[in-house]
Amino acid sequence: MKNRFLAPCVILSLCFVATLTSQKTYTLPTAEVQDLKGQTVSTSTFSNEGKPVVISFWATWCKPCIAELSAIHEEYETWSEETGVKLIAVSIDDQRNVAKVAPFIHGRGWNYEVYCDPNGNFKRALSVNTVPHTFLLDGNGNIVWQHNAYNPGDEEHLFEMIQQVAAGKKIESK
Amino acid sequence: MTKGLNSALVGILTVLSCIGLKAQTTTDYGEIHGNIGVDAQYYLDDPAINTQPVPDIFRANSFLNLVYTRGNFRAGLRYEAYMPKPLLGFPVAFEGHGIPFRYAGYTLGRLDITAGNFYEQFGNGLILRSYEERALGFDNALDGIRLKYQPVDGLRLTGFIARQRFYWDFSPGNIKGFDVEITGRELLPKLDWKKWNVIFGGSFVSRYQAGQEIPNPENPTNLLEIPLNVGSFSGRFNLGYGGFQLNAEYAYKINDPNALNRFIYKPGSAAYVSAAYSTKGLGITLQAKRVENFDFRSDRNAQGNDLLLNFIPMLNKQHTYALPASIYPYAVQANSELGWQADVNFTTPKWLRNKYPTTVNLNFSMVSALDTTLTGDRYGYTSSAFDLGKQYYLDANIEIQQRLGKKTKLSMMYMYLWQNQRLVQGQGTSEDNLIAAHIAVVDATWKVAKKHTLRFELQHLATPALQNPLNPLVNGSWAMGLIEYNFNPLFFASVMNQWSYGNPDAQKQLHYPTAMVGVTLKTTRIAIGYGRQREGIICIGGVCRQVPASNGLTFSLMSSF
Repeated sequence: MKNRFLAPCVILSLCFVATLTSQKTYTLPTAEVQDLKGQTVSTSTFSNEGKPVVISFWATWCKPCIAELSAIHEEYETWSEETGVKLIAVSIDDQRNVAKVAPFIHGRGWNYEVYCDPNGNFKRALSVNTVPHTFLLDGNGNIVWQHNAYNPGDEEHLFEMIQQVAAGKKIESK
Repeated sequence: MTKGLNSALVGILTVLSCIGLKAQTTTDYGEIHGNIGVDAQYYLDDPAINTQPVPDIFRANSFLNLVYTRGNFRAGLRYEAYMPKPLLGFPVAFEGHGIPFRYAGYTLGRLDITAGNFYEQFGNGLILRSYEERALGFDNALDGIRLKYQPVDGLRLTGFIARQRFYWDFSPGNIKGFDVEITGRELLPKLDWKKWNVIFGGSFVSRYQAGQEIPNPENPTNLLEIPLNVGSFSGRFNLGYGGFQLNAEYAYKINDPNALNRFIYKPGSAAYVSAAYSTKGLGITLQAKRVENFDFRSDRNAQGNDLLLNFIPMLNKQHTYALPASIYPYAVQANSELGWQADVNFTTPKWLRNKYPTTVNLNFSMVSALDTTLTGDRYGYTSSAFDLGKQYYLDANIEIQQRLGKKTKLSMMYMYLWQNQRLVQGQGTSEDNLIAAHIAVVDATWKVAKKHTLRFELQHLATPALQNPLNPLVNGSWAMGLIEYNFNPLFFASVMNQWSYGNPDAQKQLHYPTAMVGVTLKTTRIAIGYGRQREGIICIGGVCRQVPASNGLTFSLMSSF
C-alpha cells in the first residue's frame, strides 16, 4: 500500500516545488524544425531584430489553435505596427498532415512565419504538453510568458503582454 | 527493475530536480525545465454500457519530464508511474513505475552526440519513426547512441545503433540506421536558385534479431529459415518552385517473415507522393500512397502497437469532432494499402463577401486493399501495381467557417463516410460489414460578454439500423450535443451527451453523458470530469487504441515549467 502512493506523491510534490520556484524567464532551446519547403532550420535562427516574438504551437486538426490563429490574424497588422511583434507558428502535425500545412495557412490568408515540427523535437525541448501553447519572447530571445489552451478573447490578454514587452517593461501577469 | 533500484532512481531524480530548480535562479549552472501530467480515474460499475469488472477501482497514469541544458550540453529523463495499474485501455504491461527514458547529449560544432534515449524520424517515416503519443500509451523510443554530423552546410548525416523501448524492457532486435540529406540551396548557395528549391535524401535501417524455431507451414517437419538481419532502404526528394511543392519517397524492405504477414518471404515496399500548390487565399494538396507488406518492427513476433519501427502516414482527414472521429475511425493497414487524398482550402475573396470572409475546406479520400492473388508458396501472394482490391474506406467532407458578427462564429461540417468495418477493424466475422453514414456537425461560438464565452456543438450521424455483430453498442444513428462555458482565461465547464437513439436493439439505445470543469493557470491545467465513456477506438496520428467502456470520475493535471 505504501508503494502505491509513492509515485503520485513524488510527482505532486515535485510539481508543487516546480510551480513555486520556477523562474519566470528562460532562454529558447535549440532544436531542428522544417520550413514549409521541407528544409531543416535551427530554432537558434529565430529572431525579430530586438522586437518581441510570439511562438505559437498549433496543428491543422486542432480547433482551438485555429480559432486562436484566426483571431490573431484579424488583429495582426495592428499588433505589428504598434509593437513590431512577429508571430512564429510551429505546427506539430505529423507526416500525415505536414504536406497540408502550407496550403492550409495560405488558404486562410495567414501571413505568419510557419515551421513544422513533425516528430516533436522542438515541442519536447519546450516541454509542450498539448496544443495550443503560446510563448512570448522578449527582444533578447528570452521566454517571458507562456500560456496553454485558448478560449475566445485570450488574444486580448496576449496583446497586453506584448505591449508590456515592447515597452521594455517586466511582465506582470495575473 | 527491482524495487531497490527503482527507489534509488526516484531519489536521484528528486535530488537532481531540486538542484535543478535551485539552479534556475543562477544561469551559471544551466537551466532545468520540464512538464508533468497526471490522469486518474475512479471506476464505477455500469453493466448497461458493458463495463468490465475493475479490480483496482482507482488508477492513475503519471509522468514527469525534466530537461537540463547548459551551453552545448543537455540531459533529460522521464519518470512514469502507472499505479496501482494503468488506466483501462492502456497496455497492462505498463504496470509499475520507473525511469524508462533518460539521455545526455552534446553539440560540438558540426557534430551532435546523444547517448541514451532519443526519438528520430527519417524522411517521411516510411522506414523509421520513433516517437511518443502519450494519450495512447505509445512510446517506441530508441535507446543507444546517435551521431548527427554536418560536414558542410546542406549535407546532414545521421547514424545510430539502438534498441527500442518495450514497456519496461527492450526490443529483442538491435536496430542500426543511417540517413543522408542534401539541401540544394544550402550546399550551393552561390547558384542562382530563383524560386527553386530541392532536397534529396536516402536512408537505411536494419534489424538484427536472434533466430527462432518456426515450423514451415508447407512442411511442418522442417523449420523456416528465418533471416537474422532484415534491411530496408528508402530514397526521397522534395522539389519546389514558388507555391508548388512536390515530395516523394520510395522504400523497400527485404524478406521479413513476421507474425503479421504470417511468415511469408515476400519483400515489402511503400511509395508515397504528395503535391501541393498554394497562393494567398487558396491551397491544394494531392497525396497518394501504395503500401505492400510493410509492417516493420524491432521484433518479428510483435503485434498490435508494439515495437513499431516505421510510420505509414494515413491519407485521410484527421477528424476531431467526436462522432466523425470516433464512431468509425480508419486505421492504417500496413500490409496492403492503395489510397489517395485531395484537400482544398480557400477563403472567399473580398469582392464575393459582405463583411467577413468564409473559409472552406473540401476533402476527399479513398483507401483500398491491393489487388492480390494467393500463390500458396513461401512468398504468399502476387499483387498488381495499381489495380484496386477491396475498398476499405471512403470519406468526402466539407467544412465551412464563417464569422456572423463581432460576437458570433459558426463552423459547419458535412461528411459522407463509407467503411468496410471487417477489413479496417479486422475482428470477428468472416462477412464484410459495409457501413455508410452521413454526418453533420454545427459548432457555434458566442461571446456573451468580455471574458465570457459560450460554445455549442450539435452532431448527428445517420446510418441504416443494421445489426452488426462487431460492435453492437455502436450500431445505428447517433446524436450528440455539447455546451461549453469559458471564463477567460481561467475557468471552463462543459456538459455533453452522446445518444445512440437509432440502435436497432432498443435495450442498447443509451445516453453517454459527461460533465467536466477545469481551470487553466498559465501553463497548468486541471480538470475534473464525471460520466460515461463509450467503448470504442481512439486514434491519434496513425495509431489506434481500443478503449473499453467505463463510467466514473476522472481527474487530469497537466503542467509545464
